[in-house]
Amino acid sequence: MNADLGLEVELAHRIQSGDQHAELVLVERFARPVRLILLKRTSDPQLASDLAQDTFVIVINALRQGKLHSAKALPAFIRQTAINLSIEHFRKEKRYVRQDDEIIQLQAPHVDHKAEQVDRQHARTLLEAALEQLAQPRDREILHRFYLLDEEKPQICDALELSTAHFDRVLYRAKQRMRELLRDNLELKSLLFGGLSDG
Amino acid sequence: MADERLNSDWVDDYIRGRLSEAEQTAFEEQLMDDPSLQDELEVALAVRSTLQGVDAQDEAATGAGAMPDNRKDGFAPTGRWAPYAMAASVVLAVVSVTLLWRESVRTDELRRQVAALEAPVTGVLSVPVDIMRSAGGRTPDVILVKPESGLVVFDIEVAPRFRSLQDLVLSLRSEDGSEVFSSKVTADRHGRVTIALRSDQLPVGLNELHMTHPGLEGHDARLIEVRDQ
Repeated sequence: MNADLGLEVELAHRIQSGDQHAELVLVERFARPVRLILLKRTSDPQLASDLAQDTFVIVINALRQGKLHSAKALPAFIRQTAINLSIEHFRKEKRYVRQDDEIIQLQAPHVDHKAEQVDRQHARTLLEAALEQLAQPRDREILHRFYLLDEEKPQICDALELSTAHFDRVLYRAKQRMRELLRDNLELKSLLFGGLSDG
Repeated sequence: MADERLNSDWVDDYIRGRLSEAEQTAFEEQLMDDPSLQDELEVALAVRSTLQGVDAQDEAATGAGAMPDNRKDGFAPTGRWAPYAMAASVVLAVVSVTLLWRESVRTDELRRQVAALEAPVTGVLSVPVDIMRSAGGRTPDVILVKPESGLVVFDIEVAPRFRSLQDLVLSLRSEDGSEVFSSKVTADRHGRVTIALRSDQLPVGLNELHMTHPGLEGHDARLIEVRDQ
């Protein structure tokens, strides 16, 4: 941890001195956690990626101008900048809603519907294949209730008459399997994370 | 192994919104410098996204959910607009948005439901009301310019603690405190409730959308500023 702190202080000083390589190092070091935080908040890989870019533009400019009071606070500053941008994005997005003559489509830019159908079919194939590998059908019910319906573990165990050990095993196995899928299936990773993939 | 389990539980609590604000901050600060925690989070987000994506595809294939009878029975309009509210206000069970696709299925379902009203509706204004983006205080969460006529549909994200409960009480109160409508609702499988009101039912000014449950303390509230054209 001390070594990390030293690196962050050093990065901040180097960026303030105009070291562009230090800027790249900063982005490489913090891009992934920033994108994950934004992905969790937005559920939109493309939006998360855009906001992450904006985050680093703001952070780097602030460092260049020596605006960071304490270099030790650099990770917290980066994190807070990302969060503020996501809040601001949703404030702007939701703020004004006007009527049109037709039903307003929810967050729908114009798309090529044929291409969208093909993409959708392909994505469906990828996702279904991934889900089949994650868990057996009964176990998928557990995952669905936990992650999508937001039910608690005791509630799920009661409803499905299973032990907490079984529940834990299902989650553990699904995550292990997903780990392997993300490693081996770049197309799936790209579908789920868009431009956020590391490496 | 124990550390792995702790991280895994911590990550699940984080993505499911179970952490307090302070706990969330602590998690994210740890995340900034912890590659193993980043790995764990990435995997959990991927599992959730896969489930969401397949779920969305299933909904797209079968069409959005139809209006459940229990919600219709539970509707209890109040306030001075009540007679109009009964004619035109309908609780629509529309499936929620997804990670990947959401537009055309919900729009089609909205059209179908609006057509079923057999009311002279010239258009539908859809207003998403999400809980996670609220600015709090007296700052409006949503500002909408109400149409001269037609329906205004509020697509409301229900707070996690209310999602599995039946018969939530959802009401809209105008700036002077009077109740525009009140209804018993239950969140759909994606944790959302949709309410449609006629445009002329909506009072101009700062309205409060209020959700509570008789068995739970506290309430969820969102401020909706309505402006004239």
